[in-house]
Amino acid sequence: MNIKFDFRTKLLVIVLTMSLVAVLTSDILIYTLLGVLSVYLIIQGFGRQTIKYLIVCGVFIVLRLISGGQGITILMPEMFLFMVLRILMMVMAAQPVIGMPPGEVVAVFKKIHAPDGIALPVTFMLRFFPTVRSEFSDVFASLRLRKLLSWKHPLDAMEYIVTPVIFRSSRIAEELAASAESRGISNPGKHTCRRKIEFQKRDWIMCVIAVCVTVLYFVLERTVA
Amino acid sequence: MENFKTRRSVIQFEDVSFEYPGAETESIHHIDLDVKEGEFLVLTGGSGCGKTTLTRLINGLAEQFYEGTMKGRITLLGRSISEYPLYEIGKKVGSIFQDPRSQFFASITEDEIAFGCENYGVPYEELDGRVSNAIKRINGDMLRGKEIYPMSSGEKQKIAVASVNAVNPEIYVFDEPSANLDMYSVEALKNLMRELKSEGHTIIVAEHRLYYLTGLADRFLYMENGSIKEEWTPEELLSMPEAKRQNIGIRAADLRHIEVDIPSRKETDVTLEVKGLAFSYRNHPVFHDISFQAYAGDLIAIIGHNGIGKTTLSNILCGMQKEKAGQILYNGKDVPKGRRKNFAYFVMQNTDCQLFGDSVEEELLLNGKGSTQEQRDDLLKMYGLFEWKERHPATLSGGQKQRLTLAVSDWIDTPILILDEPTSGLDYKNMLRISEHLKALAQKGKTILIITHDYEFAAMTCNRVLHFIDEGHAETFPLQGSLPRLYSCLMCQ
Repeated sequence: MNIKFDFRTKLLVIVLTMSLVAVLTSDILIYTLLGVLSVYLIIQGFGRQTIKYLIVCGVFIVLRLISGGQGITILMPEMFLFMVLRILMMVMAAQPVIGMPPGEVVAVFKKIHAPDGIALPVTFMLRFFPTVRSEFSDVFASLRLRKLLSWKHPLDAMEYIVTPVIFRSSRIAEELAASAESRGISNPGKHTCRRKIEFQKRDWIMCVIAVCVTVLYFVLERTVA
Repeated sequence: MENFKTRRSVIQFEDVSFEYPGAETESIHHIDLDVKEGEFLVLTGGSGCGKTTLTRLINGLAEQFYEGTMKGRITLLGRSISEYPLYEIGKKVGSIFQDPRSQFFASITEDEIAFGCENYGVPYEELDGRVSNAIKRINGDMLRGKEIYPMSSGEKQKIAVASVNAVNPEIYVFDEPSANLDMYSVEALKNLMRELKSEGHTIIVAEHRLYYLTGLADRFLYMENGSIKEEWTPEELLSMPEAKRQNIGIRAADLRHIEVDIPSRKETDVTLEVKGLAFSYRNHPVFHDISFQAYAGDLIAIIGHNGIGKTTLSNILCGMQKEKAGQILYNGKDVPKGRRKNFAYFVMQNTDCQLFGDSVEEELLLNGKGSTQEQRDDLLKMYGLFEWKERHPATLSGGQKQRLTLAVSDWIDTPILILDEPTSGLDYKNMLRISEHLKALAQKGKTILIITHDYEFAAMTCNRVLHFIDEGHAETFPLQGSLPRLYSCLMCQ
């Protein structure tokens, strides 16, 4: 299955997921929401990614069950396990937006008259993360070669990973922004898109389902609480 | 040679100086420049001479994106550049940047090529035509619908040119476009530039490598410390005495006249022996049955087209990846993957990802806790880094970072050192410094393997070549008397 939704539909799902993740406290509701998000991804053709997300989420769910609300050592306090699961769900909701053609994103933002203060950072972010991903593998390779990656000193290892990635990320962000500016991303006039931007019937259906699911979860949360 | 004097000016600099925010000195000072319509101009000079800043002033990024302070006046197509908003300059000046990885926004080629046109509101009905034309002009039909990320640097550079081309600007600005390209791709870039020139576009290129531009450029401007010091025609550049060229620190304009001093090697100790090596990603074979030997004191240039497996071989040699078949012997002993790090160290191309310390000195301390202050200072002096020892590695220039990664490799001191494109984006003086140092290490008995597309560097540095012909064949040959062979190997895809 490979249903294509409009960017606005995907944005709505992200916003609704963020609000649910922020409000839901019941573990059962969080786990079922994970199932709902998986269906949302699978119908858009992200089957393989869904399996990966579910495996990672599964690991953290098991860790939470093992920890019994006490956390696992100083490295994984309960709050960390609680947060990671929720962050992963937000990433799942954002998955269909990652890798979208930038022209489509910019054109939709222009169409809905989104302020540049929101539209431009979101457009940069969509490109930024895939670009930075390859930097991580180079950092890990170099750390292994220099024998600086050690489980005995996890905080040092973390610092060695984060430092170059932050510096490189800021440089990539600057270069990406310079490239985009020199190619007219800030043009205040009309932006077009080589793909048709249409809010179709399937988008309406998806939006209605997403809103209904969100309302249902809010009601259930109040009931459970 | 065309006479441009009668043509209209498209870019004029009148006593222009520029300073980046927070900088202690001006990056360029008192520049006067008049670029005529259809002219092909090359800016050259050592690292940090101000050539990139000059290109940023032309495409408006220096003043409006980096928000520096400009004095003087720049006129672009008859109007002061300060009167144009940045997005308006982008329609008239197309920019192709040095690092292809950080200038793309889309993941698919057509989306990327259309991006500029979409931003300028080109009607939907026209977009596909513009994209198709841009693809045709780069002979890029085979690149249609492809993912950009896995492409070679040469293909990415083509897409970058096509993306600018689709907007159809009058002026093209290239910032070190050959820095990440192999010689075959440089030849393709040269043909693209020739076509742009024949269509009447004005072209400005900031570049260290000059050999491919002598048949294209109308003028070469030599910059030093932010000023234009000299101006040459291609004929003047080609006839420049070798001593002067080396003294001012620019790279060879004619690759046939490089002074080489091929290092000798004692064919005594075999330090590395590779027998029938094979590797594949999932079911896709990268190479199979690769065999060669390396001796103490060898400086081997590893060459072959992109994707043939040069980096993979290096990763296997230092234990970062596992071979599918074959044997790797260090000093005659079969060494398992986990222990190869003790014998071979790999300096990767991406220097930013290899530096982890808070200062240059701490970078050495990370792998040399037992070292003395004197030892560290000596090493930093040898690499010309002593005066920056308190600086954070991220704030160093590209050449300094490259030297620091080499200093770290000296510290780790494995008998075999592998380097991936160590001269990418380096000026002549830094290239020479690295070349001399590698030769000195080889003299001490280290075996050095260098993945490179840089003919000038390989000819000046190495004594042997390992050429990956295709996935099943690799050949080695001595460089003594075989420079034309090295050249033809680098030029064929």
